[in-house]
Amino acid sequence: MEWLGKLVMRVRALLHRETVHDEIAEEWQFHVDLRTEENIRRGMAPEEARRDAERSFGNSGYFKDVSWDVRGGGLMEKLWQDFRFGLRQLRKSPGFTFVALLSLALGIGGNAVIFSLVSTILLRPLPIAHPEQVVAIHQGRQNDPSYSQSMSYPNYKDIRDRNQVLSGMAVYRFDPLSLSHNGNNERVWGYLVSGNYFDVLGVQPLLGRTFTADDDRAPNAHPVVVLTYACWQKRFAGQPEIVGSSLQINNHPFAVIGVAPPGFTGTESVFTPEFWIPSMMQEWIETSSGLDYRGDGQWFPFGRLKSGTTVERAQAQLNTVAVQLGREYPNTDAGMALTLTPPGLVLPELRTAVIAFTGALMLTLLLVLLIACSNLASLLLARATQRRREIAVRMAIGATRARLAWQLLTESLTLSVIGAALGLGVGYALIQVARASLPRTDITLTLDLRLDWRVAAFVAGLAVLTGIGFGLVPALHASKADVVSTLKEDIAGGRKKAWLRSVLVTLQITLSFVLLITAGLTVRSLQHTEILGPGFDENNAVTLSVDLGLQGYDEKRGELFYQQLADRVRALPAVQSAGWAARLPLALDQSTTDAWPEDQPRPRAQETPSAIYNSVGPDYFAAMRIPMVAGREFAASDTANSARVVIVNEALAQRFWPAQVALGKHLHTGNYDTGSAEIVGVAKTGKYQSLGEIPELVVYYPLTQIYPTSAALVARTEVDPAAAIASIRAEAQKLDGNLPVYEAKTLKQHMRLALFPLHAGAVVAGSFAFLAMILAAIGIYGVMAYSVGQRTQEIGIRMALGARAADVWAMVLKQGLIITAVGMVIGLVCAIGLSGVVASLLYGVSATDPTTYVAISLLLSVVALAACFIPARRATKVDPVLAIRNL
Amino acid sequence: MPKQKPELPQGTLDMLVLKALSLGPMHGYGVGQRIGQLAEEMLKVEEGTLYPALYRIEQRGWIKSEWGLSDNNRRARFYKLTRAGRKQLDVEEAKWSHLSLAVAKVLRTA
Repeated sequence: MEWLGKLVMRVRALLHRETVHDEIAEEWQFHVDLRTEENIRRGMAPEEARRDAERSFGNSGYFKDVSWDVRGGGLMEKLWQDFRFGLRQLRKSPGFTFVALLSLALGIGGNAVIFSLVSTILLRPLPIAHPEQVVAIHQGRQNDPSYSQSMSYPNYKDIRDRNQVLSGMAVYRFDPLSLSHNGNNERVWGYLVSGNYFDVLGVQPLLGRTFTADDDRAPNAHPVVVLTYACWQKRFAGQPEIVGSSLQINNHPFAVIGVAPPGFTGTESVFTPEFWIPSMMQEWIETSSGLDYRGDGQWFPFGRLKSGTTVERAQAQLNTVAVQLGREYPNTDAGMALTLTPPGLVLPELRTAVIAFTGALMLTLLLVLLIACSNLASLLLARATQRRREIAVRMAIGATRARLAWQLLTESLTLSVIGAALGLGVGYALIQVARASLPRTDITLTLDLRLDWRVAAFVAGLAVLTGIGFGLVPALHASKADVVSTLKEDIAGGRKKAWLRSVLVTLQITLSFVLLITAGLTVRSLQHTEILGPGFDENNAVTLSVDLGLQGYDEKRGELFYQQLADRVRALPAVQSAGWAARLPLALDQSTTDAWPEDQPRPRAQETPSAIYNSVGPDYFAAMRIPMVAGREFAASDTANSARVVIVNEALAQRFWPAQVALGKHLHTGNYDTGSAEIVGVAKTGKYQSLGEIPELVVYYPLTQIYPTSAALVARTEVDPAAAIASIRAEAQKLDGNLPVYEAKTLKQHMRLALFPLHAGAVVAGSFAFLAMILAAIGIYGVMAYSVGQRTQEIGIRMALGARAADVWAMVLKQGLIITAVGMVIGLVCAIGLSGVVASLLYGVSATDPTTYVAISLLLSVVALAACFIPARRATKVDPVLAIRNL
Repeated sequence: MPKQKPELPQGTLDMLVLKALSLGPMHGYGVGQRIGQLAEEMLKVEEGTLYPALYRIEQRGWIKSEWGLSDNNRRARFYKLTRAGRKQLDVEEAKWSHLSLAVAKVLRTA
């Protein structure tokens, strides 16, 4: 703790300089007085006695200085001095300071945002006791590591009861609910959870109680609900009386038994609920319940490891349970494999994707920061050259090299600390922008980006690293100045530094070339998807959704409602056609089912191909403008009692009947045990889950044969789709005034969600590549301006000997272009080397797309030329007479 | 040559200061005096080096200082040995006697 005492003392000395100085002086005075008295006692005359006493200290000023140094001045004071000196230096060259701070702020700010994303999704632990013990359990297949599905309730119960490695295991499931409150029906999202959910997580309620095992024992017996803190605040104004009162959810009364503590919103980092309801209430929430069916994967499980159990051991033991289950229930569980990951992201592949995405972004931003740093290093080198005289003078009057280097380093650290502070501001602003531009969805997507202490620590680390990174080389360089030769104004001394700067600029050009290529490819990829389209026509169409199940409609009433509303909307003058679908393509909640052709043997459980399924009404394909390749759309004649029929997409038809006509064949599908159905139509393949997907298999059922409790109506309009929304909504209200209508929007708006990652990627990559290019241009400009300044006399002589302006232009531009060309060639090699990585982020465009490469090379060359322009012009303006006279 | 008191070898001043303070709290002037007396005036501590030494030792946590009143009721800064200082004194004393013994042995074999 010795250093702590020292630090306290030094800080005290710095803060209370006067006191410390006074103390030293007082102690000195006391000593001198005593000595004087003693001298007098020994017989000296008073005057002489005092003089002798003072003399015994030697030079009193020196004594006080040394004492001050020991007591506190020392390092801290020097640091403070250097810091203020640095600030003065920076104020003296506002241009340099502005460029430096701008590039640092942008570079560090961008990094702060990406890091806060990483921190939110991957690093921030759940606000519960021992969060590290909680693991998400993913069900997959032994022979297909990429496959994952949710878990059935019977399997959950068996794994929970048979394993020996988890102290508890719980499940949850997202569900939309209709909440009646203050006369309003609203669709909100909640979780169905097993009764031990809060116990496994160790979460204590803020108010009331959480669930007990009794709440979750018998189906539909305990209609109780626990609210999130946010929901309690937002919807019930934080009134404590809410506990014990009753809420109408899906037209059933539910008793509010508790409120969760603030900050706890379940284990997911993105999908957050407003309510928790016991899983046994599933039938009231979803109108049907799959709690007893082993083949029906519906639940997301997680568990808490017994203390001291490693993830590997737990996973191994859970898989032995899985193998047992596979033997006992071969039809549903054969080949089941379980994987454990940290909780937070529903699907394991989502986690991988997030890591890849943030990793790529972070790498890009660090590259930009590296460019900014090399620019600063280069600028500092140039400044150091200008300041050679100042530095030489300071050395001549006794400053040591270490002291000078330290001082120059403090200057760059000052710069980087201010830059980092600004960077935090930029980061905050960017987070606000990101929050505002997140696509609006019905599900509460809360990406709680925050500049928390992790981000602050990260930024502080960056500041120090960048400060040392771009300051160290110039500082060592500058402080090496040879006093004598510098004061004699040597010219050749600049050569080596000029060379170093050229290397730095070449590096910048290389980096910005790579970034520009990446950005260019992303933009091309975006263009490509827009040309390719989602497989339906998103122009001039609107959609809105209803959830009839939540309003207690039975199947008969529901079918009638679908039919009546579609008829009424078709009758509207602005509408050309209208049709229903259980889910729109590119919505978040696609579902899959097993599918296999009737004329081929049924594949084994874990090898059955899965197809996305949808239920659609008559006219759906017309309204979406999805072309039918063969056969027909569903019609009013396809009813619950008529023969089973399906429509498939081209991808499915080609997969199962590659060389035959699929029309008229029969298809089996798994989720609904309905026997096989005849294929009456084949629709063109589109995009269903994301724009970048490889073609998916899709099967469409008639709305009347596989009835969905909620659905989206799509209406094709003549013009201005937004205007049609109100009249369609009015028709729905006429049919049922209490029915909440949600997700009313144009198809173009619907597409925003799917396009968001691409748009965001293009914007981010584009802006950072642009920033890198600007920084590189500044770098080129700096080097060229410096070089022209150094060569003034040479240029003057050349002109005196007959060189024309054009020759000077050529000379300067050639130098700039050589640097650019070298940087670009290296960049080309790097970009091609990286194309493997980049390719994974692109679709529809090759990672070595020649158009992009040529365009970017031209762009960068033009920018480099422009950066050389001013220095070159300055060179032609050199007056030979003046230049030579100064020789 | 006027009679000259020997200069202290590097580092021994700290030890002497600690020793002087082990006899009880004292102000800077008194520390100098006490060392002089203990050495029977064979040593003289330079004031110019005594105070920096006191500050240095204080920073290491071996002594503590506070303002108090001297014998003739003047405000003075008193230094006091800390527990760490007492331990340090033991260490230094042991080191010193070992060293001086060794040096003496070398010098005796001439």
